[in-house]
Amino acid sequence: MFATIRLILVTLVGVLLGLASAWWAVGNIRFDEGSSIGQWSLLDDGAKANPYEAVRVARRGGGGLGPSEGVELITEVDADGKPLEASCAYLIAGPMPQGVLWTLTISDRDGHLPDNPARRFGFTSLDAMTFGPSRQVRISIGREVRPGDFVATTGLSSLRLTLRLYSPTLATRAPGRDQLPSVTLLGCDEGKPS
Amino acid sequence: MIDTGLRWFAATLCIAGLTHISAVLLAPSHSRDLAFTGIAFGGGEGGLARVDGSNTSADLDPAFLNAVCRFDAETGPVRLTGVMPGTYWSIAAMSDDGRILSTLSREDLRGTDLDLLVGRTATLDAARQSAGIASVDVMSLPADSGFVLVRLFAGGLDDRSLAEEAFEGLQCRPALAN
Repeated sequence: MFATIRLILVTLVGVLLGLASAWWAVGNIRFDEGSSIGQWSLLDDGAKANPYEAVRVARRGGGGLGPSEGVELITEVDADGKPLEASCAYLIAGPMPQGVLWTLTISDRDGHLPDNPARRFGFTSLDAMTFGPSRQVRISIGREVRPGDFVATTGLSSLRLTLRLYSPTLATRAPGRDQLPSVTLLGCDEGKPS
Repeated sequence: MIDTGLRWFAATLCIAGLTHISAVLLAPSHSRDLAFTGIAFGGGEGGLARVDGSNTSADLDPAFLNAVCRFDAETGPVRLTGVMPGTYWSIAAMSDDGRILSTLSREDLRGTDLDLLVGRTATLDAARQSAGIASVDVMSLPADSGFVLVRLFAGGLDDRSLAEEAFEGLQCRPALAN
């Protein structure tokens, strides 16, 4: 009797442990270090050889970019490697790959967009302000309005930044770390981590 | 006693490992959160249905006007026709589980007139002959069913009106019915 109960308990704990570790491994975008460029992680919907990537594609429901379309980079951490918090404000600053159409989208980790009246979910290479000869961007995000290019993160419980570069050339040769902007913390709401 | 405890611990780890591997390998084919299943294609113009965050779980770029068209073994290959805008656009054929099978973008097409046949490789020739199609671009796929996703850049007001105009003129029909 005791052995049967122990067998059931071990099986249950084992299954729960297995499911939890699979969930963690699939949800952790830094798990695959081979496809990281600085703080950005390169998404590859065609990487079916990696079973974790295959699950990530299925979980995202598809819609990723193919090789002749471009590349998709996401980050859920700031330049210091700390997870992005929806209660904090951040500055996305630095260069963008030149001569390509890019879009930067702010969402939560499930892909839900911010609930802002302006329906401003990000910026593109055609509407972002650029500074200096290297045409660097300065985009701030947060719950409180800030001057310059700004995206309100109202309604989001977590943060994910998605940078899509529409260029088949970049799909075959990913951009370097010095071609991508970095995300730095500006401040957090009181009572929240900073 | 310690030996017994270690045996149970090892058994727990073995079960956890097997569950982990099974879950990761089986998840893609058993995902219920598929991109475009459940979308009403009948109501869409020209066989295309517009998709965004309100009717799909797919992670699509909100700076684009996105539309999908379904193809399966019953419909056979589909023929996508229309006039594409001067702004950026792309077309992706994807399997039911969201995996990209083939893509085409503005750089791949000469001019703006689109006439594209999409379907399983073996059925494309039959469709071309049956429909009397002489010259079209083809997207041959290793799958009988899936979706064609059209992305039209609509980042600015002008871009959006161009994308809307192009979308209105797009037709996605079974090639054998033409």
